[in-house]
Amino acid sequence: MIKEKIIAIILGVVFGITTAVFIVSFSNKREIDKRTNNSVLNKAKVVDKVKNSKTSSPGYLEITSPHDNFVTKSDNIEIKGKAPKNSLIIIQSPIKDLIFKNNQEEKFSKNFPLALGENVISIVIYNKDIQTSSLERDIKIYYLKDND
Amino acid sequence: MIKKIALVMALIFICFNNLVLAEKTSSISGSISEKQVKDLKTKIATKVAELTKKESKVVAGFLDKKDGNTYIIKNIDDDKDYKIEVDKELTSFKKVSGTKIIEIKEDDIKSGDYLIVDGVNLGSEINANNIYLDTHYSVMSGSIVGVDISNKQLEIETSDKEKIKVDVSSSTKSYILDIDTLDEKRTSLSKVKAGDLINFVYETSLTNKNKDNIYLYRYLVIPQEFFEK
Repeated sequence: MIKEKIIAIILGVVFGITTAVFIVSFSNKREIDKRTNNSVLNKAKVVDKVKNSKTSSPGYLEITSPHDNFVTKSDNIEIKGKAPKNSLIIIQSPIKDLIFKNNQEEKFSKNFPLALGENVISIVIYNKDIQTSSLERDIKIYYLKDND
Repeated sequence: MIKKIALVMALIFICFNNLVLAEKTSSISGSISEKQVKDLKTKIATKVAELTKKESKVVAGFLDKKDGNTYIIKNIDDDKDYKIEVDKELTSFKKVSGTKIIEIKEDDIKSGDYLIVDGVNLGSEINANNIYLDTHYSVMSGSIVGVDISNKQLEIETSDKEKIKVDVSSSTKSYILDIDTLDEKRTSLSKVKAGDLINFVYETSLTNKNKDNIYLYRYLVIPQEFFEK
C-alpha cells in the first residue's frame, strides 16, 4: 500500500513537471516569435536619416563606405553602397553633382571628388515607380592635408 | 715593524681595490640605468604615438565661446557642444582657402566661425593639434511647391516635410536633369516648375541654421517628366 502511494506521488510529480515545462517552452516560443516580428518591422523602418515624402519607401539605401566623419588626405573618395536596381541615384556636394542609375545590380561604387576641408555629401535615390518617394543619406568627409 | 707595514699596505691595497671596484660597478650601473631610461623613453614615445593615433578625432562646429585656451564649438547637425583645449605652442591655426590651406593667427578666428578641429580625444574635451577655419554647407532634397521669378525665390517642401523659401542669386549654380541622357545642364528659374524635385546646397551659418534667409549655393532639379516616362 505504501509502495503504491509512493509510486503514485512520484508519477504525479513527474507528470506535473512535464506539463509545466511544456507550457513554459510554448509561451517562450510565442514571445520569441512576437519579438522577431517586431524587429523585422523595425528594420523595415527608416534608418540613418532616411527621409520619406508622400508615399511608401522605394526600398533601401545603404552606404557601405566611407563611414560618416571619415578623414582623408586624398582629393577623391570611393562611395560604395546598395540600392534597389534601376534607381536614379544622385550624389551631391557643394562642388559636384553625380547622377547615374544602377541598372545592372543593386551595388554601386563611384569615385567622387572632394574639396579641401569639410565635404557634406548627400546620396539620394529615386524610384521611378513611386514618383515623389526618395531615400537620402548624408555623410561628412574631411579632406585635410598640409600644403607641400 | 715589517709586519705592521705589511698590514697597512695590505689594507691600503684592499681599500684601493674596493674603490676601483666600486667605481666600475657604479659606472656599469650608471650605463645600465641610462640604457634603461632611454628604452623607457622610446617606449613611452611609441605608446603616446599609438594612443594618439587611436584617440585622434575630428570634430567640427561653429565657435560659440572663446575663453583663454578653451574654445566651445557647437555642432548644429547633432546639437552637441565640444570643448576644445588649445595650446599656444603646439596648436596650428589654418584656413581652407580654395585649393590651399594657409596658416593664420589665432586672432583671425572669431565667434561664429566654422571650425574643423583635429586633435586628441580625452573624453570630455579635445586637445587641438590643428584648427581649420572653413565654410559649412548643408545639402538637402525636396519638391518644389512654388516658383517666384520676380523675387527670385523658390518655395520647397523638404524631405522633412518642412516648407521653406530660398533665394536664388546670380551666383547660384543652377542645373536641371536631362531626362534622356541623365546629364545635368545649366538652367534658370523660368524652366523650373512646381512639382519638380530638387536637390540643393546652401551655406549655413549660426544666423540661418533655422532655414531662414537661405541663399542657394547650388541646386539640381529633376523634372517631374522623368517619372512619367
